[in-house]
Amino acid sequence: MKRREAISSLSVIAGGSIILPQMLSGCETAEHPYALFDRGDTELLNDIAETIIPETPGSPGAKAANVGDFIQRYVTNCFSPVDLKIFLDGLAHLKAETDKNFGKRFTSLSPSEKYDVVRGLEKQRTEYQRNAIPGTPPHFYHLLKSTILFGYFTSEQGATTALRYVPVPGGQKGIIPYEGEKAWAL
Amino acid sequence: MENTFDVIVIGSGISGGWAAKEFCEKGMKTLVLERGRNVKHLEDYPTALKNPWDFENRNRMPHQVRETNPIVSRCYAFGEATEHFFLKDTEHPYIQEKPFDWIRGYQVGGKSLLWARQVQRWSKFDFEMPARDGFGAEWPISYDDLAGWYSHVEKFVGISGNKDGLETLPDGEFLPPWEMNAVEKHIQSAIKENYSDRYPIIGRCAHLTEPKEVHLQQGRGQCQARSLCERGCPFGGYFSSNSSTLPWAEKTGNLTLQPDSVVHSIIYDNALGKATGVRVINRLTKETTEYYARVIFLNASTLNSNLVLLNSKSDRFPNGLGNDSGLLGKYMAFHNYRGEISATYRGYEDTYYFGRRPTAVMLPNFRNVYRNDMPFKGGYQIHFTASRKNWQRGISSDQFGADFKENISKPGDWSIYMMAQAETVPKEKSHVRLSDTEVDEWGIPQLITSVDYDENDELLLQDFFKQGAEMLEKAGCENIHARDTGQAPGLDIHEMGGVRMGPDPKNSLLNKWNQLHTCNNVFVTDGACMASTGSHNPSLTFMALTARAANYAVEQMGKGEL
Ligand SMILES: Cc1cc2nc3c(=O)[nH]c(=O)nc-3n(C[C@H](O)[C@H](O)[C@H](O)COP(=O)(O)OP(=O)(O)OC[C@H]3O[C@@H](n4cnc5c(N)ncnc54)[C@H](O)[C@@H]3O)c2cc1C
Repeated sequence: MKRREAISSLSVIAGGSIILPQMLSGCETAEHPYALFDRGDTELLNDIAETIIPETPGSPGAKAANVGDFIQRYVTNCFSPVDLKIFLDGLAHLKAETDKNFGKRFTSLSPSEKYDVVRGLEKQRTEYQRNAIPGTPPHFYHLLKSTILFGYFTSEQGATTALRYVPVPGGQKGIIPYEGEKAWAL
Repeated sequence: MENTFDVIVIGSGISGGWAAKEFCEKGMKTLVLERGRNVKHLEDYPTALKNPWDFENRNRMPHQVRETNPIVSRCYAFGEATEHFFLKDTEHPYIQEKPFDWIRGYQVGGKSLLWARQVQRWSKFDFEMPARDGFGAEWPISYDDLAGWYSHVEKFVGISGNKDGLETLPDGEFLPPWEMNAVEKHIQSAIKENYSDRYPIIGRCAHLTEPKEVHLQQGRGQCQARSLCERGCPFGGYFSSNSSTLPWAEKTGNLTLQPDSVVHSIIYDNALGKATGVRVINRLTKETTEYYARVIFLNASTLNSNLVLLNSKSDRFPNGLGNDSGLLGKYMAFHNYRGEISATYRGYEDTYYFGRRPTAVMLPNFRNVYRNDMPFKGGYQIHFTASRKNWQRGISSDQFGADFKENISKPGDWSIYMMAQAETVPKEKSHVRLSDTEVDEWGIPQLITSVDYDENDELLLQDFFKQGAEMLEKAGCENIHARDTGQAPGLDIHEMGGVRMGPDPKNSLLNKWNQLHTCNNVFVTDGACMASTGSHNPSLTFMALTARAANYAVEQMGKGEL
């Protein structure tokens, strides 16, 4: 089954809550562990995530933390049917738009083209939120960005290099001087 | 006789653990019956040392689990790291005549594994206020009756705190306190300067900041400020039945701890005029067994203790054991947790903090203390914390890329979170009762909850919103937003009442020693016994009442009175 069909079968059971991976297995994406996604989505999501959280001196980026893999797992397991549909539709739309505008996939774009695409997504979200009334469902990019940040800063790479991870502080100090260091991971 | 003990304790949570410890230390052969599975300290804490990335969904629960278990999913502490210590909604259904989130932990240790460990003594005002101001029954005990027992419990549990010398919040036996950060100190002084009746203090909690000999003897060590407590602590840094009272009781050789034992009811003997034992259904095999003892302590936690008594029917007590007054299950109350205020503070950007402190700043109740001078009854206690914003502030930012990453990797501005923990008025119509039609998996009638907010709660909430915002404003905070969480009663997890204590058998069920007025070898010493709720985290008071009642029972048994 293709992802598009998966989405439509999803809308049938929206409101219900169980999406059984078996329902979607045995088709072309069988080896891919996330039935609602295509195999290429890991790289795509990693590339978008890396554009938002790139590698910086001393700290690997979202791609090295394999945030793309986490996003598919997390979205599949934890999103409500409404958010899940927004996410999958949004991702499909993003792919189609990149194809249309550049004649290639996001992963093949130059860094500055990738930057422009994400800048465009930021803009779309801002516009969308400007007109939102309470209860409006979240914008696709809002879901994407929050999941990227969550996935990265709770990954081993993110927590231990972009932040300071101290699993066993041993004690507490109410006031210490702050001189520009990274934040505590927990 | 087989299956016979000196004492039976029903439930192994915070209060049951204390009953077990006191009785076993005094040489009583004690049977603790626990409906859930066994949880051994250290051995049965599978997630205690896991990193965030070790959890499949980074500690968030799958949508499907939340859909099928909406009640427990509303508890802030429910996640991949802790789910094995929470009862799922589906495992023990009940009927909500009015919305009530009943949060439960059915295992050896009960909710003592999961609690947030904040503890405060009641003051004399809290005991006197309900009768004085006409919103509750008279308490049969005063602060002075309990003070020594608070000390007894605090020394063993290990409580961190500062001696603040407040009349409204008596000092206890304290280990060194936790520290406030710069912004909390700033707000503290602003409040003290502006209000003569308000004294914010560092919270008091059941953590070993500096273990004493008695804690080392329990096999417990210093709190490491990890703040991953609800998983079970590999250092024994916080108090739970599992880390403290139960192993202590076990060491005496007098304890029989029996998990998987669902108490169906207490057996009453008409001829003897007292209870003789309990009926137990094995959780797994559903087999029924009877156990006997001279004294029975009911510590199944508030609603389940009500349920057991309501289900203990006999010719003498057709409406539930000890229920001559008809008040069993009534005057159920809780804490109003609906009030939240958030704010930000500019300044102190050159300071930070280290370690994860397991408590907050707290402001003891300042309303209706000396007289009822507010348009509402009862009081409220405020908890607040200040912290620097983390990477989550990046979600709503419209930036991305390397600079963005560097920026949100650093601590952001200070934000403040404040909440109220408010007393509620026990009312006759707020009650629990048994269903006539629905039973659980063990054939025991399901509980119906009919507990709600009232006008008093709304008035008090508005007062908190006004006062809380004003205090933050005076401290120079900005972006002050008040929010009514709208949450149902029960999610506070401070449910109390239904088997209240009182001097008069006509309008209470328990006497001043927590004995049923009309069946004096049955004691109820968990939250069910509470005649009013105060505005404090309640468990310390449950522990002190339990230790006091257990020692009284031992005395009476020695004299042949029980
Ligand atoms: C997330 C959370 C945070 C909390 N924070 C605080 C806090 O900061 N401060 C505070 O004071 N309190 C706090 N509480 C509340 C505190 O946990 C309870 O007040 C306390 O555990 C009550 O003790 P108990 O002995 O009455 O009940 P429990 O600890 O719940 O123990 C009752 C035991 O009885 C067993 N049982 C029930 N029915 C039967 C039966 N029929 N037969 C046999 N066994 C039975 C249960 O399985 C359970 O093990 C918190 C609770 C939670 C969940």
